[in-house]
Amino acid sequence: MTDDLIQLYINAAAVASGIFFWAGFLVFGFIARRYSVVFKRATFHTSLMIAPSGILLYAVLMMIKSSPMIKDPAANMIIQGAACGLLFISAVFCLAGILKFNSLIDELLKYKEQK
Amino acid sequence: MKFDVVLYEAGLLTLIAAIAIIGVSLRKLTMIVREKKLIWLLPVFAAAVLAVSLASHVYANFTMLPQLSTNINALSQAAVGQDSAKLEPLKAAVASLKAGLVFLKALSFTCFLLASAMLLASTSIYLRWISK
Repeated sequence: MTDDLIQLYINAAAVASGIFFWAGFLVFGFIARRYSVVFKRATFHTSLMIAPSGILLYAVLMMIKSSPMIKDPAANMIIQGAACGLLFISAVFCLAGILKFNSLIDELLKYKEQK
Repeated sequence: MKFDVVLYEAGLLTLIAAIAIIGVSLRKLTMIVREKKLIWLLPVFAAAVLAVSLASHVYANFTMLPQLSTNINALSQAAVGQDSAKLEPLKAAVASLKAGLVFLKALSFTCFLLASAMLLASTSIYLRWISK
């Protein structure tokens, strides 16, 4: 019973954190979009807002994996592999987008200092 | 070595780097809007907490799981040989390793949840500031 409860907690935490990460990166994409509109510079906000979808898909796949519908261990392994792959790809794209936006912020700060 | 485990850990490491850079970016962005609050520390803490999650995942997969499989093999051999002197300590070791693995898994996902909540809080607060 205790093990079941712990497993339930782990699954709920995995899904909730996937959703929170996705929302956190999405909001950061909105911030980049605001700067893009104000300073009329490319901030790659679209890619910043799309990239975290993989983290959300990771959460969805983990939810499917832990559901009682999937009983086949081979299917479970495929789902687990796909979820981890999506998490990795998404994290790489998020990092690339954030680095681009960070370099733009550096330019803005330099411009502000010169003024 | 499982491929999905390596992918997960590489993804987590990249996520740690991305969140740490969000912290650096938020620090610069708070300077731009002349706010003196320390919300940029939240993503930095989130990256640190996520590093704990990664460390526990690595320890569980590369230290405890091989120990568990070694003990299970020894346990099955002892069971076949009806060696009751070896059986009880091995059973206890397997049970203890299983409990340790469940604890580390729960710790890892608790860290994951905390880090994600801190990231969401920091970016939401900043978006609220610039939306005023």
